[in-house]
Formats: sequence, structure tokens, C-alpha cells
Amino acid sequence: MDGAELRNELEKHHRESYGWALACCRRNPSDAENILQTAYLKVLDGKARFDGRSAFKTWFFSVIRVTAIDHRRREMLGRLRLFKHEASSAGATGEFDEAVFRSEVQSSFRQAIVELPRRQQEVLQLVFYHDLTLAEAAGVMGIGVGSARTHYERGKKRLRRLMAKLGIYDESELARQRNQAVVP
Amino acid sequence: MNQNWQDKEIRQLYREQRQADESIAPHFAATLEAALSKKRADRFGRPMLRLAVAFAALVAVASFVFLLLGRSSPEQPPIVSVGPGESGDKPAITSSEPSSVPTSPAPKPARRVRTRRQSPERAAALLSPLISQWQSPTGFLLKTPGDELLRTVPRIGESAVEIKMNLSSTKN
Repeated sequence: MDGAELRNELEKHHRESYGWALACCRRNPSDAENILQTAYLKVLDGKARFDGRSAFKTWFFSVIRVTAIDHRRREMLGRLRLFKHEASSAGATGEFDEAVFRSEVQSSFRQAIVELPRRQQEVLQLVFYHDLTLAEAAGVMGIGVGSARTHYERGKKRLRRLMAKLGIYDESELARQRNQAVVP
Repeated sequence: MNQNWQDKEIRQLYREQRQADESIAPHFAATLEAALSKKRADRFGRPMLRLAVAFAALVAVASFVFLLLGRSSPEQPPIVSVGPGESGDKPAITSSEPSSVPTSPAPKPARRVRTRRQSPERAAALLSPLISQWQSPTGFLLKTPGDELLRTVPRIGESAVEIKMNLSSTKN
């Protein structure tokens, strides 16, 4: 793949990549942008090379995931060295919440997702948000399909429990539709 | 059935989230431009950083060498010998440093005393006027006429001849 082709592919998956980057950094938009920029540079500079063994989207998602892990590690070291103040990122997330999660249901849903373990979050995001198969999700996460399935089932179970606890089932659109269907 | 409904519910919520994310996603061109400008900034910043690090390392090495040389400067502790001096009753103190004034050989082997390490100024102040070379500035006042006769011991034969000669000269 030459530079122009790579750019085209990146552009095609840009929005989805941004969503995946958000999921990889606990939905912090500035971190997501940084991660995406670094991932683009990795691809365009040839530090990450697409060998065609999987779909471009799957491969690029794994690049984003690795970049996010690096970013998280650096952030952790930075916190240890007191280079970065935690309050700044917290403020950014607060603003983001207000701008994006307008509905209370979405806000509660996001809260429920954040409470899941990271692997479970990732597999649910890849399957439900990005419409990947379990095998593709396993490829992105760098784990076996069996492990991915385990995380997927456990994640769903836990998410359902959390959603019930937060009362999301009663308030969401589908629940409303169901109620409308039941009530004559 | 219930589980399927719950899966649909989860999928629907994820879809809503995706729509919300897509509405706030930055443009591809803007993201790429930001990435490239970051790269350009890095390209400029890294050589400067390397230069700064190299300069700091140079300064550190230079200061280390300077300190090392300052410590190992020729500051030999003086070796002072303590032993009986010329007169025998007072101990003469001689230094290992070369001196132009000849000193008489000591009858006993000199006891070598290594003095403590001192500051260079103090050592220089102690060494510059050597005690063996020192002369009192008012010592000439103690010299009296005929001082040589009192200092020397008369020999038996010689003194007698001198007395006879003196007597014959007084008779004449």
C-alpha cells in the first residue's frame, strides 16, 4: 500500500477509529485525538505496516489499541512524576459529558460501561459498536477467540446487571417501545 | 427471548453512542494536519533537545574533571625530621625539601614525622622560613669583642708558645 492508498483507507475509517480511540482511553476526547494522531503517524511513517493478513479496519484498530496502551502507560508514569495534573483531564471529561451524552440514559449507560473491566469493555465495544465478529474482535485485542467469547459473555451479563441497577431498561427507547407495544 | 431483547437493547444503546461520537468526531483532514504538525515540531524539537542534553553532559564532565584536578594538585605533605641539632642540646628540625644551607650530620638517625595534611597556605607559611636557616635579626648585638676567645678551646702546645712569646715581648 502506498501513501495515497493508506490515506484513503484511514479517511474511510476515520469516524469509527475515533470512536474506538475514545473507547480505548475511557472516553476522554483530547486523549482520543492524541492517540488517533499518533496512530496515523505510525501508519504513514511506516512504523506500523499493514501486511494484508486481516482487514485494514481490524489491523488499524489494533494499532490504535496498542497506541492507547502506550499512552496510558506514559500518563501513569507522568502522574507518578507529578508532571501532569489529574484535575485537568477530569475537567475535560466533564465538559465532554455535557456535550455528548445529552440524554440521561446515555449518561447512565456510559457509567455502566466504565464500570466494566477493560477487556469486557473492549470486546463489547468491538462487537456492538463496530459490528465486528468475535474472531475479528479477538484479532484486534490480540487474544484467542475463546477468551474473547468468555469476556463477551461475562461483559454482557455484568452490563445487564449494571443497567438494571441504574434503571436504564425502563428509560431507554426500546423499553419505551416495548411498553407501547404491550399497552393497547 | 428476554436475553435477545436485552442484547438488542445493548446494541441500540451502543448505536446511539456511536451516533453521538460521530457527531463530535474531528475531521480527518484536521486530525492528519495536527499529526503532521506534531511531527514537524518533534523534528525541530528533538535536535534542540539532544543539543541541550549534550551541552549539559559536557558541562558536567568539565566540572568533574576540574574538581578532580583541583584535588590531585601537587600538595605533598612535608616530611619533617626531628633529631638532635648542631649544638646537641636543642633538636634541629629539618625538612625533606632541598635547602642551600648545609646542615651538620646528625649523630642519631632522624625520626621521621609525617605531619598532618594541611591547607596549602598554612603549609607554605610553615615551610618558607626554615628553622635551621633562621637567624635572629638582633643576634649581632650579642657579639662582644674577643668573643672568639671565649668560644674556642685553647690547645695545649700552641697556647704555651704564644704565652712565652708574649712574655718576651713584654720584657723587651
